[in-house]
Formats: sequence, C-alpha cells, structure tokens
Amino acid sequence: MFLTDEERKLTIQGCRFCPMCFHADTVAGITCRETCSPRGRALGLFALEHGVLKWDDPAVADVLYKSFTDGLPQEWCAGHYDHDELIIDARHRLVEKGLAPEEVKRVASRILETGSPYSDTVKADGDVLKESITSTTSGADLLVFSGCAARSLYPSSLRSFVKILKAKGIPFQLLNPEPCCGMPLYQLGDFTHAAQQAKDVSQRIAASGAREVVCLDADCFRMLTTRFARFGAQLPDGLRISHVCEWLSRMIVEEKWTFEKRSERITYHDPCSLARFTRVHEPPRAVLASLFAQKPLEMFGNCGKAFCCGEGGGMFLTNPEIVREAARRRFEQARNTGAELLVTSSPACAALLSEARTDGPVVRDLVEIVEESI
Amino acid sequence: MASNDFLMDLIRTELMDIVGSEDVSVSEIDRYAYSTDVCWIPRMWLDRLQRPCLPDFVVHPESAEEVSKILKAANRFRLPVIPYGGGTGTQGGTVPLFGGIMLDLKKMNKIIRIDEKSLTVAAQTGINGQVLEWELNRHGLTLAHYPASEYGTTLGGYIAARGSGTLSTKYGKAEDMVMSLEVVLPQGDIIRSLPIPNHSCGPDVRQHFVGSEGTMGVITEVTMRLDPIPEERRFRSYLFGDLATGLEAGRRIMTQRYRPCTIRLYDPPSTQKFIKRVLGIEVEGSFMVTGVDGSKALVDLEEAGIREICELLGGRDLGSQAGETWWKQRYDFYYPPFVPDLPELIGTIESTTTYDKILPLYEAKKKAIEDGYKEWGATYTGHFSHWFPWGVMVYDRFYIKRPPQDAHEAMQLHNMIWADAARASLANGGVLNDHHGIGFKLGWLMPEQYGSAWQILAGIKKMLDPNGIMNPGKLGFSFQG
Repeated sequence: MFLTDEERKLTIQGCRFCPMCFHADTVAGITCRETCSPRGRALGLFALEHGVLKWDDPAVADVLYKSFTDGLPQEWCAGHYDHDELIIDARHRLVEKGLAPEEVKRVASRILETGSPYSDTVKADGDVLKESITSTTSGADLLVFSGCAARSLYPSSLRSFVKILKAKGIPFQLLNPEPCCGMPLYQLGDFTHAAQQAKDVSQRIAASGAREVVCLDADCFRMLTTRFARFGAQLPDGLRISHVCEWLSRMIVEEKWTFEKRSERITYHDPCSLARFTRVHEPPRAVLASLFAQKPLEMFGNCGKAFCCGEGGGMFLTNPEIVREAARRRFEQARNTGAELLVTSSPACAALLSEARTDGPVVRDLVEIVEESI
Repeated sequence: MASNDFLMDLIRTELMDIVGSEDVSVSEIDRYAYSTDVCWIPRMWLDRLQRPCLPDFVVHPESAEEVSKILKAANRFRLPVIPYGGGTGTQGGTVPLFGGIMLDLKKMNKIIRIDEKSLTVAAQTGINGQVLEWELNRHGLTLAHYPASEYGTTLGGYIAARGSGTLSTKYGKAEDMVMSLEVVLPQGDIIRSLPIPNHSCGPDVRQHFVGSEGTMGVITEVTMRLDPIPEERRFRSYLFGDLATGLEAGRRIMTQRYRPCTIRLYDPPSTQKFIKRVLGIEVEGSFMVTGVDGSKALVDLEEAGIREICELLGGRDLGSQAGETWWKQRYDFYYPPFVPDLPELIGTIESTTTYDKILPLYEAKKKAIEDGYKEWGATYTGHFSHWFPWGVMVYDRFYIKRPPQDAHEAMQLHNMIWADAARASLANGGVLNDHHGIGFKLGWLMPEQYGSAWQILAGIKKMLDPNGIMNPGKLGFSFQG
C-alpha cells in the first residue's frame, strides 16, 4: 500500500545482500541475529516471494515482528531504500493471510474496546481525559489530540498541557472519547483497522470545527500528517496540524512567552516520528533554549540519527524484552551526556525512558517542563 | 555432518545445554540468512533460486568457555563449525559448504578494557566495528580502521581476514594493530598469545591466527592498538593525465617517507565509472585523493610536501573540496545501487606488489580479463588504495554485464576469470589477495601460491584440527569429518 510493487521489488533487491546498515538497526544490535537485520529480513522476504520459504512458518512472523521500523537504517542508507515500509508491508501480508502473532490479532479488538493498544493491565481511558474535559470549550479553534500514551501510560503530558492552556487562557477542545489514531495498527500491518481508526478520527476532527489540531504524541502527529490521506481519511481543508513542540515554539515567539531561565544540564531525545519521519528537530530545541540557560548536551545519535527508545514498530506488543533493552540503551546514552534532565517530546517515549531509569537524569516530557516554568 | 533427525536432535540438545535454547536455531529462515556472505557466487546462487549451502544449526555463544564446549561437541560429532562475524566478506569465507554449526559471535560484543595510557582496547571479537569506533571516540580515541564494510563488520572479522581500512596507509592493516589474542583452539583449549606484539621469544603465535579465517580456531578476544583522534585531518585531490604518472606520484610520496593517511588513485576507467556517479565530479584521467592528519603543524608540512610532488609530475591540484567530499561519502560507493551488483557478473580480484612491479601486474591482469574474456565483453577497473613503504595494493575488479543465465555456467565463468586474474598477479610478483581474504573462492589456489611452503600451514592445521571441523573448504583446507 505504501510501496508500489516496483519499489517493493527494488527494496528487496537492494537490501537482501547489503550489510551496510547493521549498526543502525537497534533490534539487530540487541538480538545479534543476522535474520533480524535489514539484510536478513530482506533476504527472507526474497525467499518468501519465490516460495523458497513458507509464510506459515511461525519463525517468519517472529522475524518480521522484530523490527522498530524506526527509519534509522534508511537514514544511513546511501541508496535510501525504505526498508521499514518494506517490513510493514510484509506484516500486512501476514495479517491478510491470518498469520500474524496472536498479540497482533488482539490489538484491534483491544483498541475498539478500550481506545488504546496498551495492555489490559494499563488502565486505558482514562481519568486524565475526564478531568481535562472539564476545562474544554465546545467549538474552540484548538483541538488537543492527546493520543493513547498520554491518556494511559503517561498522563502527566496531557495534564501539563491543559494547565498551560488554562494558564494562558487559550480555549481548547478534546475528543471525548478520543479514538486511537491507528498508528500502532498501521505499524503492525493491520491496514484495515488502521484505516477505520483514521477515518473515525478524521470525521470526529471535522465535526469538532477546530481549525488547528495539536498532537501531544509524536506518532499520532506522524499518522495524521503523513498517513491519514493514504488511508483515505480526509481532514478538513485548511486544518493546521502541529506537534505540541512546534505549537509551543510558535507561541513562545508569537505570544512572546518568557521564562526565568533554569540552570539544569539537559539533554533531548528525538522521538523517531519527529526525528526522521517529519523532520521536526529545531522546535523542541528552540523551546528548551527559552527555558534553560545552557544548550542541550546532545545525545550520541540525535536529530535524524537518533536511536529508537523502543517505542517504534508496535514492538511493545510483540517483543517487550527487546523494547526494554532498547530503552535501557537509549537511557544510557542520555546518562553519558552528564545531563540532569532528559527531555523528550512524546509521552510514549517519556514513559519508556522513565521505566528504564535507575539513576541518572530525570525524564520529562517537554510539555511538563514548560508547565513547570509557567 | 549429521546424517539423520535423531542425531540432529541429539546434537541440538547438547548445543542448547551449552548456550541456552534461545541461542540455538534450526529455523529455515535463520539458516537461510546464514547461507551467504557478500561473495558473488553464493549471492548469485540464491538469486537464481538454486539450493543454497545451509548450516544445520545457528548458535550464538556469549563466552570463550561456551565456544570451547561447542567445539568439543562438534569434534565428537565430526560436525563443521563456521565462525561468523558480520558476514561482510567477499570470498565466501563464511559460506557453510558442508553444513554444520554456524557460530555467530555477535553476542560476544563486550569491551573489556580501554587503556587510555597505553592506547589499547581489549574487546570480545563479536563487537560491531562501528559500535566499537563510536565507543572509542567517546574517549577521544580511534581504532583508525575504516573498511568500507565497517557498519556491518565485527572486530573478529577484521583480524580473521586481515582486513584493511581507508586510512591503512598510515595506520596499518588490522594485522598491524593486534597486540594480543585469546583463541579457542579447534579441540576446545583456550589459549592466549603473549601480551605484547614485539619481543624476541620465538615465532609469533599471535600472527598464526591472524588471517586464519576461522580455520585454526575461534578468536574470542583481542587487544588492539589505538590512536588518539587527530587534531586535524585534511583531504585534497589531484588529477593526473594517466595512471603511470599517478602511480609515480604515490611512489615518491611514500618512498620520501611522508605519512599520508590515505592515497587513493583511480585508473581512468574507474575515474569515469565511479567518481562522477558517486561524487558528482566530472573529470577525465587518473583521479587521486590524498589525506593527511595529525597536529596542525604536521598536516601543513605533509600537505605542502605532497602537493609539491604531485605538481612536479603535472598533477592538477583540484583543491580540498573533492577530497573532503570523497571522505564524507567514502562508503557510498558500496551501497546499492552504487555498488556493482547482480545481475552483473563481478569480482574484486585485488593484489599487492612492490612499486617496480605494480604497473606490469595491473596491465597483465587487465589483459587477462579484457582480452581473455572478450567474447563476454569483460571490462576491468582498478584503484590503488593501500600504500606501503615498498609497494601498493591494486583494488581491481572485472565486470560482465550479461553473464550466463545458467547458475552453473555463471559459476564456472566466474571461477575461471578469477583464477586467470589471480595467476596473473602471482606471475607478476603479487599475492592472491591483500585484504579481502581467501575463503573458498581462492582457497584452492593457496597450495599453488605457497609452493613447498604450504606444508607448514597444512602441518599446523593438521596438528590443531585433526578432524578438520574448523570452517572446512576455506583457505585451502579440506573437511575430514
């Protein structure tokens, strides 16, 4: 769907024998398996294509669901082959054949039941949305799209943003209940349900009458801006979609928000969806520059070359141990900067990096930091 | 090789007992992924949907002790063991010709110690080359080993195949950087070479395993010499009217004992074929990149001296931009779609010799390929990228745009061309290979190259590995199982 047949063929041909991005594939680095590298996956797909391997071998699904599809291998690739889209396409084929892992099969029904892909043990809802709803203004120009992670995993992001809006007297609305945007379904290859979610969200946004949508979650922002149209979900003409870091950066300039500068040493983790898929690098750094006396101590791997913290590719559903290790590694890179605060700009990343913390920098979503300073 | 399911399950149980069940795989997709490296023949074989050489097991040990137990088990069952690092070799060094255990060492990826006083690093050999370099850079240090395959390689692969990097002219090949080694011998004993490389304590055990391509044991840990990250590194490029003048410029630079970190001289066909395509620079003739690094004072001095030599020979100074672009994009040449690839028939047939013989060697190989395989439209390009105080390596390739469709015929043609090129190298004072290794591709020519000296290598192999389980079919050694 996202690759043409020709692009798919060229990508398999390009990647199947090429070892040049092993270092950039976080799953390959963690599993240390050739099969879980871009070359190994593409060679496997080549063999599947030609009937040498069989799609119904459970090991095939196991390999194809071990990828963060985070865009980093492509970032390093001089040929710019879209390996990640190739893997999502392959997952889609597994879903269509009914061969996806059980957890993937369950996620659509979980999203329909709870509004969130996160596991049953996490209370998806939730309370944060209910308390935030009390502050909304029907028909306001600004619609806050909080995303599943800010509603369940890391509610502090939504709470903080609502406080900022109230403090600045900016009317806003929320979708209640707020549907999942479909991003996890897309990444897992369940395009049918991803399209359903995308259409549901787009219709709800259109009905709200909002003129601007601000996404708290980087993945939702990517989904709305780069995937909705491909899934046939039409957003109203002229609707402005911003990630919250862009919106905050704009407000600081246009509305002349000023802050007393803080003195902590900070570092910034670029979420993959901002780092590579939408290229939003400067706005979060501009916000941090207005808040802190010192520039961020850049992490090893930043902006376009930032490593995934484990949030990518729906891996939290299929391979939580690999996700935990990716988060641990990313947190270690943050610790190596000597920073006291690790700031990111997506609640899902903040949640994972917080879980990975033993000591070292305190993890905060950018929105929380702004709210603390207002 | 295991002969039936019962025996296979028995062996599998033992392997799982050693490394854990998660680290032993017999799945089709895993075994398929380990059926090739970057060698043209097994890739062509897969591309043409031929039945590949598959390992029976893919095993991921984490320590020398686990490797030792695996080798002991493999000896009891007479099962081949193929040590595997990054799978970036071009000579088929990791292709499991006889099946057996694919011993993927990438879980052995720990840095054991960085000695910032002596400038050394001790590490397990499965660590990725780029990951190691990143970690060293954090300490202001560098291995200064930048092979084109760096992103996919392992430290062990550097050593096992006598690898070379783009800055080898100053920093040496991988074999020059090795201080000491830990090796698991084929029958399971774990040994260490002497702690330092320079001594007067008899022949060098360390160098016996360097370049052994997994046939003499498994290198599990290594201590490497390091360098500080230089204060300054600069590149410049020059254009020469012909190859011979470019070669003479390089020779004078090296024999006047300048120490450039790189000299890279492209022959006119490769200047035409690659420089414009990858770097976007349109030039005709022989394109040369030079690089110097160190303190600013040293860099100024060496850059001026090298420029004087080049200009004296009529080399046109193209300034720094093209050279700096080359350095930034030096690996781009090796990514698809820039790297020559299937369906084209290609082979990197490089060799090294002394300065007095390099031009005749180049011309002999060009003739052997372009005249010898005229009916196939074979073409030949070369660049000269690793320079020594006494000679230089020619990194040359042959290409046939429309090779035979039949896989067997394509393989025979590939082998024949390669053999002719290799024999042209040997006849002109060269060797079978400078830094791509031997694998199965050139193994059969090893006794011919070494002559009566081959008995030394064959004798040591027989003593260390009486069952011939270690990477059989490579480096000229056979399987005894």
